[in-house]
Amino acid sequence: MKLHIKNVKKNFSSFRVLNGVDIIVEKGSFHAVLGVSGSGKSTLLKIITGLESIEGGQILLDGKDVTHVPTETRGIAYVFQSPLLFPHLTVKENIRFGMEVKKYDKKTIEERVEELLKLLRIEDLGDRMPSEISGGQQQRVSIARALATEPSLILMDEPFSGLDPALRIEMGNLIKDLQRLLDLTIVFVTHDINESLRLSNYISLLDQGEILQSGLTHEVYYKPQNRKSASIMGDGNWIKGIIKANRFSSSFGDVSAIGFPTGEAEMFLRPHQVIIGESRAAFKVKISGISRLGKETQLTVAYGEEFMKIDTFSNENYQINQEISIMFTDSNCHIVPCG
Amino acid sequence: MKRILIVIGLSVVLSAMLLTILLSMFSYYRYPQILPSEWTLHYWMYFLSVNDLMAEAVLNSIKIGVFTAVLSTTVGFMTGRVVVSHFKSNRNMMMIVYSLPLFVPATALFIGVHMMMIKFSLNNNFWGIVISHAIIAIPYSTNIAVSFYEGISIDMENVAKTLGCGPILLFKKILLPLLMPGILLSSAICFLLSFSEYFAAFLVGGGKLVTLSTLYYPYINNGDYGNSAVLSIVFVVVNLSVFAIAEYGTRKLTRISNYLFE
Ligand SMILES: Nc1ncnc2c1ncn2[C@@H]1O[C@H](COP(=O)(O)OP(=O)(O)OP(=O)(O)O)[C@@H](O)[C@H]1O
Ligand SMILES: [Mg+2]
Repeated sequence: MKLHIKNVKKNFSSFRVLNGVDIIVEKGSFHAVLGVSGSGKSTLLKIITGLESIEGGQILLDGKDVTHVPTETRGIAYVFQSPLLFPHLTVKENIRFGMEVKKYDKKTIEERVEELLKLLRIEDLGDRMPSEISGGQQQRVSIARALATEPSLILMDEPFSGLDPALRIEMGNLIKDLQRLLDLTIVFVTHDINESLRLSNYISLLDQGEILQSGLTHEVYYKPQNRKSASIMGDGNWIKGIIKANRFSSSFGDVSAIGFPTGEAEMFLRPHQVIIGESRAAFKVKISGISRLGKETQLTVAYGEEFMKIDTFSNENYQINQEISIMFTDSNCHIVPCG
Repeated sequence: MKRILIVIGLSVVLSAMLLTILLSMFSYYRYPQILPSEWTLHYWMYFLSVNDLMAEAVLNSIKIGVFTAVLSTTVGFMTGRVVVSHFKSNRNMMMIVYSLPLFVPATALFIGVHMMMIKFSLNNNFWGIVISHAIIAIPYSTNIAVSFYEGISIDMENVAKTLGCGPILLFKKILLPLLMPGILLSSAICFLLSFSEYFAAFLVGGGKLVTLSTLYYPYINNGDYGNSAVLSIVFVVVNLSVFAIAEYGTRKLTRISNYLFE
């Protein structure tokens, strides 16, 4: 189902949490909403399901205004940060809860419960109480419970943040597979950059109650519109230069910049887009900082007055002040005119 | 150390019980004697057979207790809901407000209540006693309700809503089962409060409406140990049964067990 969040405004007493948020979630997409803690992500999801009221704007589902439709009839599933299983019901009863409320017939319910138990790999836990299963298993049950009524839109609020890193990745993959398999539309809220990159195909960056940028995840990641949206998704390098006659020139030479206006501009590169190696197009820089993060090494290099960050998986033993050659391909360069 | 304390505690309670049972079955027994001289069923017969007044008192007490339990628990759980969902920062102040009846000496409180009852023509009346008892029982039921509501996260209710529950289904399928142990506990405690309450029953009942405790008082006052002991045993048996029923009900109705003695 296509979801259109239109100019949504939300206050908590006098404090403005969302200030005109616009997001379009395409049918069948895995749409991440990335933002720091307190940026209003959970509030946004609660607004989409109708658990919070709004001071302005609209929520449209397939073009239909549902802003004033109560939560229970909107039919949007919601997976919370913690599993929130009903403690007085068994795993199976939790999963069938939504179907019973919506009066599905008995046979359909039985079949679907079995199917979901299998899909989420919790076949053996059906008759246990929530207190008798692990946190990861509980979260799987809560996902099964949300999927049971085949909702046309599923909201997930950092559903894996209580899990250990390995399980978190496993669960992420499971959800991603389910999303493709069942052609689900998912809005997934997180403050974990890697998780949003790994799972989503669309992303919206939420910052201080406003959407900084929305689009295909890799586009937003590699082609940020400004410094702020670049930094929300991680480290990056901004190289100052000038556009003249469809060329962008900087201390790293020229790259093509067809269609850009003449004047000052900046070029953006993620640290791993900078390649270390010799070639005719390479530039000499000096290492000024090294931090090793397991298999990855982050280098800070100096060129002229400025610094650049480079991520490399090379196991070479770099030293401070060592001179290395770096380069990057034209197609990687994202150019943003200044002002 | 812990074990010794338990043994001491238990023996005090059990010997008091035993003493009461002895008192109720023997015609003459005074302290330094180890065993009483002659036993009799006189007091029990008196309680069980002839006495219409006694039967009426027991029935009245139970009826008043049940209505007090229902009324106070209903009001308490409605109040508790409002306190938990609408008073976040000033919850403690609210708790003081609804606990006020407990801070006033019972005598002062019930003389005032009695005057109100006369004003509303509820004196010498069954419902007058129920309302008076509810006034002291509601603070307890509200406190129980607040702690049970606090145990249910608002997001748990939100999940139920996203799964299609309107307010009625939400109450029936989620809140009621989760609150049930609290409702039973509150009912049991309110019943017991009412069942053993003397002053309001005496004052508002005005002697026209007898309850077990208004009968009990003169017996004790007059040193009639035999009859007092019988009534004491009736009290204890009824009170323990009420708790047993609450505990059993909790086990039966929900799968969250053992809330009482944990
Ligand atoms: N019920 C509420 N009353 C008042 N303020 C609230 C309420 N709920 C949230 N807020 C405030 O609104 C802002 C956004 O909260 P929200 O929970 O949406 O953030 P979030 O992005 O989900 O953060 P996190 O990543 O930590 O979960 C925060 O500053 C928070 O303090
Ligand atoms: Mg949140």
